[in-house]
Amino acid sequence: MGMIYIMLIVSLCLAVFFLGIFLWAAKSGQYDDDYSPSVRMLFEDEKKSNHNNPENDGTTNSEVRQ
Amino acid sequence: MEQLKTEKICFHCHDQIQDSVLYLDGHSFCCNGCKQVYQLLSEHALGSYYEQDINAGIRPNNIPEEAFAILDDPELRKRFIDFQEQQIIRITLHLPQIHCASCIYLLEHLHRLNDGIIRSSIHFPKRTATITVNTDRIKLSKVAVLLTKIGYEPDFKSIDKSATTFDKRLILQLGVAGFAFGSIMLWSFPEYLGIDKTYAGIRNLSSYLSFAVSIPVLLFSASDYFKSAIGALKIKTLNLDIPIAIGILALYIRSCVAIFTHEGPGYMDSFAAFIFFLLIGKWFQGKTYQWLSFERDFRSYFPVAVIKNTGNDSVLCPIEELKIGDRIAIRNEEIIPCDSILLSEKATIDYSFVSGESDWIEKKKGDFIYAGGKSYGETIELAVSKTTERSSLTQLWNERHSKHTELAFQTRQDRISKYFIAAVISIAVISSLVWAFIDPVQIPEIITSVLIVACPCALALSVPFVYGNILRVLGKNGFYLRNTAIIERIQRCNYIVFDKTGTLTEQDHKHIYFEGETLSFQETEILFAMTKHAVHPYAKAIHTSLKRIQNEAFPDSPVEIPGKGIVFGKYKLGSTDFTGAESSSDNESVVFFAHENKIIGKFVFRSSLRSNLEKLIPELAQNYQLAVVSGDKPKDYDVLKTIFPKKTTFLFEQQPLQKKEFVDHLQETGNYVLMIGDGLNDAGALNSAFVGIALSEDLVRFTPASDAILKAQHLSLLAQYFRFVRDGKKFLKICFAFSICYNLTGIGFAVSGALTPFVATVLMPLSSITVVSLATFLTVRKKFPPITE
Repeated sequence: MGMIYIMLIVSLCLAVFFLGIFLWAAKSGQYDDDYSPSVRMLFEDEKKSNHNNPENDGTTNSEVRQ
Repeated sequence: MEQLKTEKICFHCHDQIQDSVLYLDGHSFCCNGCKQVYQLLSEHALGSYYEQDINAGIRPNNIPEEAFAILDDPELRKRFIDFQEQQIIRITLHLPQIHCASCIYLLEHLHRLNDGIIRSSIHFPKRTATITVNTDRIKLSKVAVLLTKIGYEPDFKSIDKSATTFDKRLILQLGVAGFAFGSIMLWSFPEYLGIDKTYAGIRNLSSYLSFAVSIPVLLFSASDYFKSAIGALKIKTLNLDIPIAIGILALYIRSCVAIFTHEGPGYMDSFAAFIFFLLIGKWFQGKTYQWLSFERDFRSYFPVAVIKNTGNDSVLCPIEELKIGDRIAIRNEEIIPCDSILLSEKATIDYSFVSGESDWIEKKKGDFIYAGGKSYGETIELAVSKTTERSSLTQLWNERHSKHTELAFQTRQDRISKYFIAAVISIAVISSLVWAFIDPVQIPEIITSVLIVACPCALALSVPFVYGNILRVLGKNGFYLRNTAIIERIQRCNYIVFDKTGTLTEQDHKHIYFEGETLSFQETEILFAMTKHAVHPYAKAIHTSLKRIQNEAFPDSPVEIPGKGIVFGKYKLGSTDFTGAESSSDNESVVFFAHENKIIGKFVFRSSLRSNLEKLIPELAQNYQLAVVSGDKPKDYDVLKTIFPKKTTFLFEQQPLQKKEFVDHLQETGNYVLMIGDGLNDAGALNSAFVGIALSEDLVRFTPASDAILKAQHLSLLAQYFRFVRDGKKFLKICFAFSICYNLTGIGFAVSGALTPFVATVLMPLSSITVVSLATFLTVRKKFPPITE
């Protein structure tokens, strides 16, 4: 049964650890904006303009003309 | 055909292209502004802007660069910038036009448009951009100009930096309560399975751990309920937080007694769960539309600073620092910030935002000019005669809801709590009397049990979930309420007051017809050229209504005389005096067209009513009394009479103050008034009405301070929205009935002395979950017909 004592303490430590992370995240404003990070991660790093990228130019134009 | 249709839409802003089409790279554009944005973006390799969202582009406005001069003044800009270290400045700008993924993409790649911009990041819910700028490379005002050029005009006036602090505290409270709830539940698990006295060590350890964890819940997470209960007792009223606070305390003290007498962990799990559920309800109800501003007053409409002439010098001066007697200069299309006297020879003022009157007014030297007018034409000089705060119109807007209506209104929840408390106390007294005969030792136990199970958790969750869901459903349908309290206010209203211009009628002048001799081909051509570059809205409307036939070149160029009309060779277009026409009836808006002082004919402007009003008004009339107040001349009376019921009150040519007085008068005679308006001229009436709804074309443009904002296209659904809001009362009653049933079951256990921690643990979450799912089921299934634009 001695194991249970250790488990109780471990469970408390784990819970406190996650609570700490949650409080830190909430305080540093990570829950403020729930939309832009989801968009931001999908941005291409570098993309050429329509002039320099004939492939891209083609698709955009055909979309407009359809 | 299909192809033609697509070609008619601007590649940048997706508006229908009206007349002249501009082409670039095989795309068509509606105006030069849109074309320039496209050009700028493709030059700087930002073409994928258009790929993030279909409706990405925004047509840019023309704003004079001087409007941002305040950003270059080291003193005046202090209140806008977050941080400055020598030439590096970080500034947070409110850009109300932000609306999609493309906006985030473009605004976070601003550094490609100008290398003076180091970093920019978007806060989407607040519609703000935080931009770090190297001012050696680019002036701050140029950053604002750049933003305006690509369609995102900064709105300096309404940044509220304290908006999120409350929310954050609630999230922290919720986190702590959730942590305690989960942990205590885990430690109490052996208890539920019937652990007995043989394992006293484990039982005691888990009990003490539960006690330790429960302290922050009591002191931090639950603190607002105690504060609210004490606050209510202090002003001698009852609210639902009182039984909640009593229940919480009963639970906590009973559990502490159990823990320290080694009885087990007591009701600590119920205690933490209870606070956790209550806070979830609070969080759910607290949904707000951060990007909409319900609190705007005149300040967000006026310029931040104006040019003050001091002797030979002119300096930029914030409007709140203007003093009586100061001489200020107002440029073309700027707004006059305070009541003042005209020093220049003449001025043309547009008061349409203030009075609803669409005609421009001519003022002469020495005339008194009210704040809020927009000046057209050359720069004018004025002497301040009242400070902005004391100007006649701003004073009107400053007044908040009168105390009377505010205090008289108690929420349904609070009204019910009176009976609730009475019932709980009488049950406790009766059961303890009964137990005095059976077993007097048990009495304290019985009383605490009754207080514990009578705690109105499910009841307290009904309102947040029913009203919170209603708020969300309406928000999805273009009707944004400031908070859930507005729902109960709307339920109470019995009188609806409409503004006319811009609310019942559309703002643009679409219905124009010509009276007089038939226009010859050449005359049409002349009119077209004449109005091409005109500023006045009527001239613009005439221009768009004309069909262009042929592009003819004319020797003269048209001269627009602000407030009067346009001269073009021998032709004149304009007001009665200007063209020398016989004055016609005052009840319509007309523009005369004359050749060598001979009238050819006149353009008559009819404001068009919004669509489906003829269906909406009779629907509303079944439940509400109606009134129309307008700042305009009674020119649309005939049309309005046909759709409004007979007993409707019509008032025309009402000043903003008169509108407010009308609303006040109705409320004094016992009515609860719901006012619907769109402009600053309604601001006073919206404020004093029990519920003020501001109508907005695009949510970005200015809306006066109000309780709710309604998208103009959704006006025709208003009757259905109100019916849904009234149904909320019914939904709430169903949820109340359910939660009372649970309370009664619990009380059954409590008075018979059979309440155990396990029963409380099962009963409480069960009741909360039923009520929450019931509330969600009742409200979310509501569907409104789609809006076709």
